[in-house]
Amino acid sequence: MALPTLEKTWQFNVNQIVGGVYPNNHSDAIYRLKQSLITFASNPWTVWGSAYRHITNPGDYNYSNGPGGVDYWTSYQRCHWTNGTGNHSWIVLQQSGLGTNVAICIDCNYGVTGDINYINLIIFPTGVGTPGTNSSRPTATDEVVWTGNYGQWGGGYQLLGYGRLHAMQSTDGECTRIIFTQNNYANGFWLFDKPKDPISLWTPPVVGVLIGGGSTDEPSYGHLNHNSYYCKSRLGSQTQGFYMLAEGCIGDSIGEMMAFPDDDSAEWPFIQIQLATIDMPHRGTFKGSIRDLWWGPSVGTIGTCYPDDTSKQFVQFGSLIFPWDGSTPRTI
Amino acid sequence: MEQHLPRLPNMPLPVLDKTWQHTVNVACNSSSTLLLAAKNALIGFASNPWTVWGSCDGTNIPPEVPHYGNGDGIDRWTSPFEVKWSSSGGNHSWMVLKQPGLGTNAAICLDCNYGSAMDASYMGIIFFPTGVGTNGSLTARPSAIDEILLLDYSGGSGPYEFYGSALSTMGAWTGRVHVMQSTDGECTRVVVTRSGTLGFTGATGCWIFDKMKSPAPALTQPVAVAMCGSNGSLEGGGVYGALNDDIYCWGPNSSSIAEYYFTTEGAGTTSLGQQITVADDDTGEWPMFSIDVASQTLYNRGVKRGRIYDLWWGATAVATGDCYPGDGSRQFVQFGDLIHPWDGSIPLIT
Repeated sequence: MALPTLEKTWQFNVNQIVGGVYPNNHSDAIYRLKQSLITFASNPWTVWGSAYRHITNPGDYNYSNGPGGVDYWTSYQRCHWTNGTGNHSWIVLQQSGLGTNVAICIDCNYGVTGDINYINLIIFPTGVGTPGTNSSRPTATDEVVWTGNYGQWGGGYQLLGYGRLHAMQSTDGECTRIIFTQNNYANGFWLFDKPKDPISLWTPPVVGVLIGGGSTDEPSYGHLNHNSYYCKSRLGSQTQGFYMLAEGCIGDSIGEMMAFPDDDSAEWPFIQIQLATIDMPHRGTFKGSIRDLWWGPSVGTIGTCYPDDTSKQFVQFGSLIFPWDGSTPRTI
Repeated sequence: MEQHLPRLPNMPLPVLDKTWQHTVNVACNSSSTLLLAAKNALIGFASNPWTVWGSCDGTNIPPEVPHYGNGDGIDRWTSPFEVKWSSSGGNHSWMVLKQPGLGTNAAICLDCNYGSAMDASYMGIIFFPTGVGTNGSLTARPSAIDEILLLDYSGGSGPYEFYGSALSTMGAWTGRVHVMQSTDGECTRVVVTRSGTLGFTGATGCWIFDKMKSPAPALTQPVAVAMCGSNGSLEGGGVYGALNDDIYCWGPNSSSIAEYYFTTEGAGTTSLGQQITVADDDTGEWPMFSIDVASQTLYNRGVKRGRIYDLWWGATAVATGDCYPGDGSRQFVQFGDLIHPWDGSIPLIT
């Protein structure tokens, strides 16, 4: 089986060390994530607006709504969490590659969990509706939200104190992926993509994924193929969850059942990812597919590169295979 | 009732890789008439038909007439009377048919041996990848050391270990044999549909003898042969439970017999075709999923051992005999969970 041909040209900002500023490692991680998104050379994300509260000085706070708002996240010290009330940090980033006003909001609000491993993440398919303040993020009536138990983002880093951030974006801005790794696990996975071949009523066609956790590989079959809680979009008039499909048999995806490479070619499978939903009112298969991302073998070790030479053209994090820049992937 | 179902989301109808010949809707009402109909269809195709290698009519009366022949090309199944069952060691009928589209001497054997089951709903169906090795007799079928036993006449215990006929205890039934073969002889499918127990009607048998598309290079004879069926109380003629979830498909490998799965798109522990219970909410269409072949057999392990030509998984919510697309053209039909190219006729089930 030949290696897949990439559909996109990719930009990489990978192997970044994040953390090391205990007890504010999480602030450093989220800050570096934001910096990664806005500093890609081609079609970077742009700041629509932001709010901050200093992590140690409660009296130091401000906010700015867009369009053309101020990026107040000038260092990790301005990335402060709260529990649903009170001044805290949020930022809205736009990406024209996903659509004219498509934006995301990273809201450093862990709600009732009280745990900095949680955020609110929001996609605004058609832009911000209601501006935010220092104590509440911007909103929109058609927003797609990851929150509560589904707000784990992977960058807590309180365990070891540091980890790695890998940011990847296509040059046209249509596909963005973030991986957090720590202690040889892929702790967090974010994705903001325009799917390939979306059904016609999916406007704008933007799909997002947020999944994070502790000491396990989060971008896994168990999460993303067995559930539709983590991969979401706005479809029609409501939020729709998607299964990231995988080819399978005997009750497993083939990536889960194959514990050995192909006996003849010694190759591992790259399995394409289609999107499907079994939830009303949009039940059906093949709502779209994900470009340049594949399911791999679940027995694959994090950081495994493909092909089996020194070129490192692809890398596996969790059970997902990503295009790679040829560097040695760091996972601790 | 036959339905004409809108085709699937977001995609045009599939383009066939093969040109197909159809001998379908052939009536049967017994194990003998079923096998006779299947045999006659296989040898009756205009292009690259199966040919008789040898046969046995299961009797020694009158004694002066040869009742079996190996490699003589004589078809002794001239009526249902010549299709007789027995257990091992007893006079019974067998038929060996060759199809060079699957390999120079590739052949199948239909063996009317019901073994310990003592019921003609059981039989042996065997694939000879390289032809017959040991000749047959009045009491024993031909054999080969590399043969693949698709159906075990000893009486299987699984729900899909039947070829499509009915248990003798079921009483009278009516059914149809549908035989479809590509013009190059590389792909042959036999489907049995009939009435069953407790008012059931559906597909009770599915036989597949195919050369695979885009096979793994190491497969010198890239053939997938499958057999699954039910006793008539449930759909069995090509279902997820048999071909996706279990091993009812095999193929020759150079040093062994590979066990194959027909893969499909899935989420969690279930295929999507089993989870989709309604037409697509957005497009009103039903899915058709391509079928790849995977194996966990040592020396043959891999996920893309080949692809099945012109055959797709459908939704289990779709009934046997329903056609696609939704314009009455009947270009495809679903039997069990599998979607086959069709000839435009009204598919008859019983």
